[in-house]
Amino acid sequence: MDIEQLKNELRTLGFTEDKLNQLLDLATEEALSVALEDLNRTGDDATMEELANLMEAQPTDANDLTNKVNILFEKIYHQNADTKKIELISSYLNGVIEDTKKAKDLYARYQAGDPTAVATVKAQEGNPDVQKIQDMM
Amino acid sequence: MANNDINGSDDLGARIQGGDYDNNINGKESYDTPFARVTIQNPEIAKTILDIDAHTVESDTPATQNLEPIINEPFRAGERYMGRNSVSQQPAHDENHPKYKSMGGSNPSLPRDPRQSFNDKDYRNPQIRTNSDYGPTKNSSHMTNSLGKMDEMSKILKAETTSEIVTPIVLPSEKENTELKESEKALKLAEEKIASLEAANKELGERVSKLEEQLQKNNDLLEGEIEQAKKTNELLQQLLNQKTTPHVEDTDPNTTLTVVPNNIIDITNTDSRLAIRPITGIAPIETPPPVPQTPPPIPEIVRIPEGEDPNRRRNLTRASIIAGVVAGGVGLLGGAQVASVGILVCAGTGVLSWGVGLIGKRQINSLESQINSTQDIVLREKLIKRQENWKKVTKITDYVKAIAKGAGTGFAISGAISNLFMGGHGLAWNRPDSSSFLNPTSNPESGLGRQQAGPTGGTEGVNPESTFDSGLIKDGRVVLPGDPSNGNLATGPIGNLPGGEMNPNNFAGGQSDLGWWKLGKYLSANHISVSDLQAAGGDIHRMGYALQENPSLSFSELLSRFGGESVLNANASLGR
Repeated sequence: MDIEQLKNELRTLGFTEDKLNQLLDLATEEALSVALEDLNRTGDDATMEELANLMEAQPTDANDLTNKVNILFEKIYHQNADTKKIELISSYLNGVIEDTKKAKDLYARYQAGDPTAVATVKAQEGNPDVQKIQDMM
Repeated sequence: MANNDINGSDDLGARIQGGDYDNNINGKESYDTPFARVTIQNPEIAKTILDIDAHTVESDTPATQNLEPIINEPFRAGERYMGRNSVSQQPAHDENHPKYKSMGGSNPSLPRDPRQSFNDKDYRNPQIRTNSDYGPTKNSSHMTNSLGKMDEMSKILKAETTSEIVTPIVLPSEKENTELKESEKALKLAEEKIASLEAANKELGERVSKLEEQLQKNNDLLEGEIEQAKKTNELLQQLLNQKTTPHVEDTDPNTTLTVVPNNIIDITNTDSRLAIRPITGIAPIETPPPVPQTPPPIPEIVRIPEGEDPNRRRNLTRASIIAGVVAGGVGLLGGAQVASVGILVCAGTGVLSWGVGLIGKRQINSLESQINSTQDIVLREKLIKRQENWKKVTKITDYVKAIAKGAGTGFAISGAISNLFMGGHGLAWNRPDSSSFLNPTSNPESGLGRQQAGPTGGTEGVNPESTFDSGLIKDGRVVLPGDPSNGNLATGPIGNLPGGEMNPNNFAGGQSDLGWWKLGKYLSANHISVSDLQAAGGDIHRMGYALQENPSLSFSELLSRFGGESVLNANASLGR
């Protein structure tokens, strides 16, 4: 499934364009984290040196930043860089789709008085992380 | 056996004579076998035979030395063919020849070869006549005939003998014998093993049959028990119905319900007019001990300690987005129910344990500990260098995050990072004169700074040709309360990629932005408000989506497909 299809599925689940774009940004950050993890695992000292020199200077504009991101991915994934980008973004969006479905299902069960769901809510009342999420909603 | 003397006393086999024969052997190797003299026309085969012969006789003298080619000699009438080497030229036999030795030919007291030539007269036995006793051979017509027959016989013999000789019989060697014995032994073992396996298989089959029988019995028993349980349930249900159905009689204080030890319920009501028959015949049921009810497991929410994982912000944002969608989908606006949704999203998705963590940070910490623990100076320097490089590499995440926070534009546009990441062009910074987005104050007149008028400057950027406010777009966002697209971006094109306003990549909000912006443009140009279009039956939502999929659709096409055409006529009558 390509990214456009995933976006359409997210729209069907109720994500607005704005929320969708926020998700895509999160997905991009996640993809960068994964790429850095792979670099840590596979990158040799020479590659690290080269990338360090590249990243040392602050990008001057968006094109420069794009170029740096592209070089980073090419150094890590070589000819598969573009494919890897799409794969990482798709994986993230797929995860969001699954989580949203789970959350909806759990909420439906909670509404129906499912003891598990009710117990879950009871157990997490007062959790500061949950409070933060509510504040961000 | 090679033999020089083909007509001598040591000629052990049949003689093949005659003119035809001579012609056949002309220039060929001649060879004596124990039974016939044959001619081998193929030199290679002849050599093979000689080799075999030499090997069999175990002669010190090579067999080829004893064989001489027989030269064609013309057959003379009246004479028997005596071969190239006549008796007079050769000794009757060579007693030193190994063949003779093996036959005991050197012992004069014994008769010589029983097939010894009759040319050698045996004076010890006068009954035996030699060839010479019959006088000289005469030429006659009978002779020709007999020679012809002999010629035929020689051909047959030649063919048969050649084939026999060419295929040497090789006796099995000792090693082969040993191998044969071993093979036989292995075969015997294999047969024994097969027999034992067959026996085991048979035994196994019997056991399986027994088990199947046992299973069948168990199944029958279980089915019987199930039937009995069903009947019991029905009876119990009847009892419950009797108990739960209130009757005037049942409420009589005189009614007593007694459960007797044998599980027979005895209901007595002295004043009752109903004939309640006591239920009998219920066999006592062995009820299994009650299974303790374990509560369903509560999904665990893993809390990430504050400050330990820099990805915390990302995970919390993701959870809040999902929770917002779930809550919005069921029409929740706030309060305890929304709080419940937040909790459920966390529990259902394990959101707080998401993410790989900022690997860069972890790597730096890991390198730090390695540097502190190593005593090797060279390794230590290498690790320090890697740590420095790693710190620089991970700056990329800071640069990217800066975009999300709106660096360079003064406002954050969602989707900007992904556009940059996926398309290779940052749509929000795609103007040719864009520069220094990370430090916008250094060049306030740059293209990036000027973009701010787009999404924040109201609808004027949407359709500069018309000032009519349709009410569809406000501050660069869609205004359609209750519609899923409410609040979506509608900023207009800000990129300069080919295709202009027909290319969704030129819009910060992609296809959605394009569709809604274009619909707003149509409405403004035609002086149609959202409320007028809706009143005329136009489906604005579907129009917006249709334009996202096909930006080239005209306004009249949209109206004809999704309703509201009458609004154009109304406007025309008003002279708009």
